[in-house]
Amino acid sequence: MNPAPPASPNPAGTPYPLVLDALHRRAAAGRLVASPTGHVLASTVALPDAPPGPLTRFGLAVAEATPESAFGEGPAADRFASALLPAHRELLDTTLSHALRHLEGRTSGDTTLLAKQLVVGQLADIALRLAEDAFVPEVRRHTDRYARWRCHLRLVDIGRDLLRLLGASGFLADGPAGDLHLAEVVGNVYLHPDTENADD
Amino acid sequence: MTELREAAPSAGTDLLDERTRELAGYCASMIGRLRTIGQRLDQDPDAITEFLDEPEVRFPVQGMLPPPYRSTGEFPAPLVEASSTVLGQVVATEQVAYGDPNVILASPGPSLSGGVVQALADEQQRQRYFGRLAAAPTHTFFALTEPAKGSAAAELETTLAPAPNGGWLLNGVKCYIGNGARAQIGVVFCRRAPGPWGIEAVLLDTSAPGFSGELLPTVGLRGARISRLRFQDVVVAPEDLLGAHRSPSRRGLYGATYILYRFRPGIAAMAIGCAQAACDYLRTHRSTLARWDRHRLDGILDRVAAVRHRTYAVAAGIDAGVVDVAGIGAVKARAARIAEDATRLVAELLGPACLIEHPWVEKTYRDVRAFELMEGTTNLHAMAVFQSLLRGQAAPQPVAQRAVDGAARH
Repeated sequence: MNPAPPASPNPAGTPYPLVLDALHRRAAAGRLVASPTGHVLASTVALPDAPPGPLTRFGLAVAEATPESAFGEGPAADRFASALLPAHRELLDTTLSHALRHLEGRTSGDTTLLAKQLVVGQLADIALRLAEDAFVPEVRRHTDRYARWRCHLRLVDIGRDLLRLLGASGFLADGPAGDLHLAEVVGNVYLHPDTENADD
Repeated sequence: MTELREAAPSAGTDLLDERTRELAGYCASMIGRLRTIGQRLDQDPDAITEFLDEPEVRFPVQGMLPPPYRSTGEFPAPLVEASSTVLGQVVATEQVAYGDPNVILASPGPSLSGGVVQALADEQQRQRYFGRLAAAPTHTFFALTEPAKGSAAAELETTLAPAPNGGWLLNGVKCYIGNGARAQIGVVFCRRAPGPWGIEAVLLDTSAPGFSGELLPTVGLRGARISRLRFQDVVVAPEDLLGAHRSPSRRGLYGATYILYRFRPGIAAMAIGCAQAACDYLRTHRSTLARWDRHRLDGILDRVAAVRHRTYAVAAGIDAGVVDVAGIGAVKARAARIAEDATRLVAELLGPACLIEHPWVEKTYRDVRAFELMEGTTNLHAMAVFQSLLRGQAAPQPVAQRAVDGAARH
């Protein structure tokens, strides 16, 4: 098998912060959706005045909710939370395609990493888990906040396994790892089912 | 920060003598300051220059220096000596990483390249390298990994070809090299001839024409300043070739393998320190946990204790001249996974928006993912573990026999 040229570290696709902006627009036209904890997460474009923080370099801004935010547990927040999961899954689909290209471009001895049985098995397992998740009935997936959280955790598991297959390139902020980190943080903020806060 | 009280090793101490336990306590006393410096480095990895005179930055690298080049009178000499063994490095590194792993990785000092120099260099080369480190804060690098081949030492493609006027010319690309773009000196592994004994290690000054380095943006562990390095017709003089006085089988690839085995337990120690720190942070900030959540946390702590114990054991084995290749890879791989699992559990149990409201948790959640890829991924080490399984877990062989065996990938 001839190795393919190394894949670009950045898979084709819209950067996650901009995907998030689109979800805000779809859920509540003209407003940004606040999490149950009173945070608003959107791109640095949508929230240009947000204070700088550790996620700014990933293109994500964090702000406190304002009276103009679509708040709390209402229909807009529900629509937004429901839409986060397909967006996360889409990111994983894109990353899986990227991983196939990347691993075909990496060689070990006289073969590509994509020809290694260990790697093939792991990729197939990831594809199966993604497909399985896609077939969870909508009514079950969105039964309550706990159902969404379970789905989120499954997607995080898949993403971590996928990034491990990318080796060191799976740690670069300008590749899939950066966007998947944001999807994990956004899930922690908008999808976590607990309502009580830590001691401090 | 009450969680810092939990820093002393809670398992594996039966493998530590009194001096090494004292070393652990000494490093544990630095944790609070390390955490402050680490937060600053996450914002600006080059801010390490603001802290170069601080003992938290200076002490951890002392044991990696040969005795004549260590700072005199600045630190307790017995503890510096204790930190010069593989076990001592592991114990110290765990505590330092409990504070923040970015600090030791961002600090000037010998890193892995110093180990290669100690193992292969002649006296003149040692003086050139360590003398420079002793004279001024100096960042160094260890350039093995390549874009197409990863860290497969035996397959590397960077070339060392004869130059028309004597010496050699170095050409190629290295990637994911810690501190590469800000280093002043380092070691590059390259191919002079086909086959495993055609690999050489050369000492390179980054001011050499044809050398260039660029920073790679990483998700976390920003203090490591992961870089891509390019060499375009970089002139390598005969005196830059490390171990020229040795046979080809005792330099180059041997040097890479020798040092990777010795440093790999240190990566495990960093992961263990971070995992323990994350669990302790949770216990401090969530004083009450539901019974099932407590069991989940205890499950992580069981695994931390187990991998710590095993890491101490493989480190002590290396100091005794026995290299358990599969065991070394196994502790690195398992520790990396535990650190990820620990931070994920902590983020879950701390509650909604904790990755916004607890910046240290968010940073550690990102940082620990680096340990999976540092010094070989889990898949690579899993293959070594499987080979060991096939051999019926044969007794580890002495260092001299095992130094290059199994060196195809690291």
